[in-house]
Amino acid sequence: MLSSMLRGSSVALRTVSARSLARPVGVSAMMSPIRLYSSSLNKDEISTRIIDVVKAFDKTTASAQVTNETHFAKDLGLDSLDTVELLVAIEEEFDIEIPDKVADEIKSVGEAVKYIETNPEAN
Amino acid sequence: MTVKAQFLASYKQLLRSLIKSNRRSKISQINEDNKKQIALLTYRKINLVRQQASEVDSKKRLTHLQQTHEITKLIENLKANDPVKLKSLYFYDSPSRLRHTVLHDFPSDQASIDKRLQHLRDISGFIKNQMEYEQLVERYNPGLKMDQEEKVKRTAARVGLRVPDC
Amino acid sequence: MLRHTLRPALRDIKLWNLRSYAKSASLGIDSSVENNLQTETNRVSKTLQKFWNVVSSQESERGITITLDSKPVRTPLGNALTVSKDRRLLALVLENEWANLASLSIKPHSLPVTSIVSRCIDLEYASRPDSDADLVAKIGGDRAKISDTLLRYLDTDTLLCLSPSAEFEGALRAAQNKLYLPIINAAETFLSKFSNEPVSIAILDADLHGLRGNIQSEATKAAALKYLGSLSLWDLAVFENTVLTTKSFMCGLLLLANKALTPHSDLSKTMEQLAQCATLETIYQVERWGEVEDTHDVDYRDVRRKTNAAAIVAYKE
Repeated sequence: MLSSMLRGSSVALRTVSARSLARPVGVSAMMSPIRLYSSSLNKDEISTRIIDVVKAFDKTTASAQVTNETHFAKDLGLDSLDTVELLVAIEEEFDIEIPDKVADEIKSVGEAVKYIETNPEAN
Repeated sequence: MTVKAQFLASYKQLLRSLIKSNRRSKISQINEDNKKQIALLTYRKINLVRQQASEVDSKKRLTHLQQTHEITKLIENLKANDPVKLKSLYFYDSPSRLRHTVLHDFPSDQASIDKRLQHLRDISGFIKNQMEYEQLVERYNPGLKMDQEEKVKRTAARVGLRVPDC
Repeated sequence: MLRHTLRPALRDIKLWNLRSYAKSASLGIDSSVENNLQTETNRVSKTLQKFWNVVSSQESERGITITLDSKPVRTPLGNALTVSKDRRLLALVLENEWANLASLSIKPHSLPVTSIVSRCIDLEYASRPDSDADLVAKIGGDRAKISDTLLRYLDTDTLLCLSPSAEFEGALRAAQNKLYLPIINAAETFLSKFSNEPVSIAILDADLHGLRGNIQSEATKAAALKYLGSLSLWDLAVFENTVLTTKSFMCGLLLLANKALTPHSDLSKTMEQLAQCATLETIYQVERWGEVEDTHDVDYRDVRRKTNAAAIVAYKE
């Protein structure tokens, strides 16, 4: 129930947060309580969540150790379509859409973490 | 844009819409399944408790008690099993089949390629709009999604009555 | 005496049937007569309950058939839900549609692609010489009648009605001129192929004609009928579906022209553009008066889900 109510209002919240974040970062971080909704994620949390998503991908060999340094192609052997599948999964986890140009540059867990960290819409 | 880049972009769009919409329906399917199982287990538990109460043999009573505990545990597990947390729902169920179908006899002339890519975009457009449509219909007609029990409860509540707990 | 007492009762039954049809029509069932054939599509539309566990598909000589617990899904007339092998992605979409229904939330609008494909298959069945005439009548499968009904939409077509320049400070009219006129030109050229003389499509211009109906010339109607006659039954069903969704003959023409084996470049439109053509006036109304909840937002998605669905069914390798 609560989640559906939140979902209904998330659009409104998001437009507000996007606008407030357009202001200088230092100011908005202090003044805008909306930030709590959008980008209260810390790096470790993001990293753990991404690694969990990678592990759930059945294309990745179960034995593979997944860390921040893991490279999609070199370490996990993912081809370009696999990578698309993985990135879409990560998008869903954080409820965002990664623009194609940016997505082309994300080739490792660490790069995905870095992108999510800077995306105010991620939650 | 190269054909490959165009293809990847359309494929991603298709995948996104499929996963968003399928995840939503899978979550409600799993929740419904869990609910059914919990109802079934609860029924078995009630029967066991009754049997246990009327049982004179203490050994048998003990096995009944154990069974009851096991069922309680199962019910708790099911209740804790929230499909929203399932990471596997972020992936398409049979990606290799999807890929195979999307790439099947991939054309080589530009006109046919454009048509195929447009077809992929039509599919994602359909899936996305179908999902949004269903969400709107559900939002404006909350009664549609309720099961019989919920409807009876709410009808009773309208006239200030409450359905007895069972 | 007996007849008199029976009459009102019969009328009640008829009314009841009609009402239950309004609900089930979108599952690909004709809305005029009750159909009690025990098929999967009928069962789901009547009980609104999920009755299967596994959805999959089987490939054979004839094509790809969607199955529920390894039994083929059947259309309202009892034909297997089978699509040809040059429509592989369509089969995948159909399978996906059935696999993602949740039992509590099956609604008549939950299976739009199945609904169109069922209509395609049943119309094809209706044209076979050995088809059961009663069944054909039940689904309104008479080709000439379908064509006549569709032709009437050409007189009331949104794409052929231009608003007064006084409305919306002329903005709507400007948009209509920009969007519709090239389409009308291209459609005239296109339809001329079905006539001995160049076809001209009558436009209703509110500035010139005021409030009156639009009537196409006999020559134009003949060309349009000939065009409809040239379509495969599969495409005719898609055309019918698009026209009923958009209330526009021209949109049906546009959709099929884009999905044809060799698309017509001067009629080239994406499904989003097509939806915009069909709803241009609403776009300006919403802009001016605001969006009415539970109406504009629902319609917006409805037109798009249906036209995209029709486009998917029309596509062929």
